[in-house]
Amino acid sequence: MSMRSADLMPSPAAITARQAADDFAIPAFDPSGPHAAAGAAPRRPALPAILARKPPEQPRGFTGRQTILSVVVEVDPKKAAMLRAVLEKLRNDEEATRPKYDRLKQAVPTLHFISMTVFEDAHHDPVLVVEANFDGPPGPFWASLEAAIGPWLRDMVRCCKRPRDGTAAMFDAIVADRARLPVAPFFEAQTVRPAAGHQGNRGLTRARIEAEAALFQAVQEELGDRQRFAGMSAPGIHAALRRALLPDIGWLEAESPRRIARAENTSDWLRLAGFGLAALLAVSAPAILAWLLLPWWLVPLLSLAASFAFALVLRRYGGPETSSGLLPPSLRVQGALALLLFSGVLPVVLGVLCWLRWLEGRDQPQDAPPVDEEEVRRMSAREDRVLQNHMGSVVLVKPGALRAVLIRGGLWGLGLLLRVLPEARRGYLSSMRTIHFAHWALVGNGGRLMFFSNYDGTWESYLDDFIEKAHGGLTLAWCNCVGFPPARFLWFEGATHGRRFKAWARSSMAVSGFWFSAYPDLTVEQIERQHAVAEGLRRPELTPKEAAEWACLL
Amino acid sequence: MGMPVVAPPGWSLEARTARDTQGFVVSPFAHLPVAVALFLDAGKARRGWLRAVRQAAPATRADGQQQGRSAAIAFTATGLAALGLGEAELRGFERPFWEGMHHPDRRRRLGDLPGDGGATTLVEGGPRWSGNPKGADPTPLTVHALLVLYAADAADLDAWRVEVESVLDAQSVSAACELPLSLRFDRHGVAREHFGFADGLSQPIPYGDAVRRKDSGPQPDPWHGVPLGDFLFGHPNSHNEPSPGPAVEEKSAAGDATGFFDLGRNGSYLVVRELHQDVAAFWRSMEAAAAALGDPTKDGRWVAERAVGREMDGDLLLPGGKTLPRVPYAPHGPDNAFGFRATDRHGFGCPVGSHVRRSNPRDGLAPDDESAPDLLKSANNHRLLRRGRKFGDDFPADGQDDGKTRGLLFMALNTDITRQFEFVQQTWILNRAFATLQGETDPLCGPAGPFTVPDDPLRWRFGVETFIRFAGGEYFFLPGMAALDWLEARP
Repeated sequence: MSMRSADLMPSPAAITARQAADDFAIPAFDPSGPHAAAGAAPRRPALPAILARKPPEQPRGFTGRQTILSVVVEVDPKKAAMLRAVLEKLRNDEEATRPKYDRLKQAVPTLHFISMTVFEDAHHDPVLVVEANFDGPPGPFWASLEAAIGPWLRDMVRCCKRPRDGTAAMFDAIVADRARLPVAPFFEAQTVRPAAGHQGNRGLTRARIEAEAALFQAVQEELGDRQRFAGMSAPGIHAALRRALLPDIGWLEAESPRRIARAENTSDWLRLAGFGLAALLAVSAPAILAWLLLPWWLVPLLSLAASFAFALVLRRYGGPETSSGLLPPSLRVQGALALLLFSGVLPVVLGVLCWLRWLEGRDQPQDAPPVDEEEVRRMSAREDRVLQNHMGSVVLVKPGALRAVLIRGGLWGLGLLLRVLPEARRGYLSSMRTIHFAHWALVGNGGRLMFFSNYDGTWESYLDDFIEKAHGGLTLAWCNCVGFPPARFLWFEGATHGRRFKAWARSSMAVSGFWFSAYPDLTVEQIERQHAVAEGLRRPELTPKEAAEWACLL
Repeated sequence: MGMPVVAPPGWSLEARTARDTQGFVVSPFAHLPVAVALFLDAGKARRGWLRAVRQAAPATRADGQQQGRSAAIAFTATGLAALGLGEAELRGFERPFWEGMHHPDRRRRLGDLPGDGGATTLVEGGPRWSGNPKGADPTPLTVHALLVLYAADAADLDAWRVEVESVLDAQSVSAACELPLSLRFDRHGVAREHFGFADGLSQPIPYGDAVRRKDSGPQPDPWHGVPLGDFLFGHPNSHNEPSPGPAVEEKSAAGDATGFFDLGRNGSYLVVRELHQDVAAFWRSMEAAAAALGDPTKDGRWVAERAVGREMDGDLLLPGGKTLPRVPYAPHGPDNAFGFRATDRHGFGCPVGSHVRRSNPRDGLAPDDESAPDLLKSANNHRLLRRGRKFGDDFPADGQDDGKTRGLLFMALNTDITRQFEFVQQTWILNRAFATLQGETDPLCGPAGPFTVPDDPLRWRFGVETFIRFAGGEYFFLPGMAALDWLEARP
């Protein structure tokens, strides 16, 4: 997922503009409800008061793409406990504000979710991973994060190992006594980009989510007096609500900004096409070579012989179930297969599948991964405090050349596909829509795979969703990792071994030492619901059918 | 008193499995309408107490004909410890079982802790009984085993109970508490819970090699088919494996390990929750909500039926003020073969947040028609086999609150407590964001709060109070017959 900034606020000036937009949006969205009064006494937002200040026609923070990234730093093993303590202190500090985390929330107006986790395992020194999901490019984000929690970040770096690459000098300058040099550039330099990522509310900036939540709240208050709407038709209700809200919420009259800008859309498609071409070239390379070097009549013959041999082997590895699954169902597919066979591409594909099946038959799943009782208890104590939860996991990647290629190709392709599939753009993975931000990233020269997710509901329900609804993609992403339940052809079985998959996933996790959500009381579905309500209200008129569907969301 | 017209779906177990399974699994003992639940404290019991108890009240097997008396027995983790199971052996059970229902983190998840605003669904003074395992919040009473006695009439039950209690006395086992259970049918043969609604209508129908179905072949029921392994250890479950129960080392006479005994085989976890129902408060709340609607066509009963999701005789509410027509072959029993996606997507009939839709959303959470079958399948991965009964007298017919305690002893079988019972409780019943609803929970079981009734063109929204309160509960292990023998023979 590249992070070219298309039309985002690239300068600090834009951040100020965002802040203005947030000033308008935040007070109304108040997740901690009645407690809010404790912090800022007179600010209990009576509706007309907050919305009275006329916002600009189109609040600027309403457009833009989101960035997902993580920062991975090796931790000095002797200071791991200290680092955990720093995270714990930061957490206590931010939880002490009223409402909780409000200071961070205000100070970093583009931030959706951030987590800081220390991963420990027997094979590596501990690593600190900072996972961040925010609007716009990284530069302004890091600047505002530094302004918000800079000293904490410095304390964290002080618990880390001196890097052995070009950033060592930067590290020294940051950790020196009384150092004033900003920490953010160091974090930026250690950034790892996701190999694949997914977003539930793609293209909705935090400012927009908050403004639409405030609008939804205002709508609910209008509807509180239901008598006023008695006997009205759906279009009538729409018109009445619009009339009531329009004077206070100016942006309803502005044109609704596109969630995915044209340039972003084009780049998504181009990158997917590039990936497809590269993959095609890779599997055709041996055939091209053969056509160039061998007599023309020999290639199809060799292809036929090799395909036959590989097909036999596959049949043995995969069993009848598999081969019937691979048998061409239609004439068109048979034609394509004949072409692949003639051109010499087919044996390459079959050969790779044979190789894969051979590996899959010898990969040992880990049926009972070790459970750190204390760690599980800590996770259990942290989870299910708000509607959303966080999961961070690190696993080892299986060895070998084929796995190295497959995990990169698989994740890369999956990630690109998720950026263009209409369902995925609307937040769905199969039929589940509970993920705000999730990503996979390779670290340690591809030796380890990290997974981070900010999702709705309980961990159990999240994993059950994976197992029941999105097991194919999950298996593709994770089956190249050590201990994963047995998979076939990268896609089948795998995550459907529900209990084993859950045990494996839980064992790979660490307690999220620090975790922040900008809107802990909103699920992906609710954000979409509020967005649809807002979109409806932006329209001067709805047809009776549209209005009826829209009124169901109120 | 007649047989229930709404008979549970007909299924039984093949002979070999049936011989090793407690009858409680396959039958609600509807022919034995009176029962008593004895919550046993065996903390000071003599060795061999289980043998004596089994002689006085032998657990009914799943293969017998209907009998005049039936019994079921199940154990908490502390109860198994009292029978001599060690720490390591108990760890072979699922975490929720040995941590207990009252572990602080679990209480928070199950809604058994007072909320931030002090909203609570607990009885005054907090729950009174549990297994009291280490690390769980303690309750005043400790329960090691649950013994349920079923009989045809009150006189016989009393006589039997006296026999059993004298045996318990002799073994120094005390009943920490007991609840008289009943299955009173009204004159139409419908069993109603205390608020007056027909109850126990929707049950999963197990399938698998070990299941014999009376009415149809081995094909799973399209709406309620669930693999047997979700209710019985050792059989294929919905996660593609035999549901894993606990195994223990089998000690030979010399005391060395010679192998493993499958302690879980043909057993299950039994989730038990004692829920008190305040009938007067329920109808007060419903009337108050109705009055606030300002619509003379909508009374307390209208509100109550929306909160439940069925009308009082059990028929499903459909859009347009209709109910689901009864099936021809069971003219008195409500139809239970339905989904929500096709007929009631928006919940204009059966509200999306109603109790029946939250406890089993069927295909109602599907985002589109194509995914409806998948969503039904996935919802069925979280089914519970319910065996609960109500306790306490019926609410006085004159509507005057007599102040007596009454309610439901919720009993449900599942083999994966986390994926089944706790999932239902957390992800559906108490989920404040269930199906994009905002800030509301189950109108029956949840704490006081708002409740949305979708309507065309505009939804109704009103507050409901708390009228069901949790008074005690625990996770039990309901062993198979061989496992009972093994436990009994434990030195």
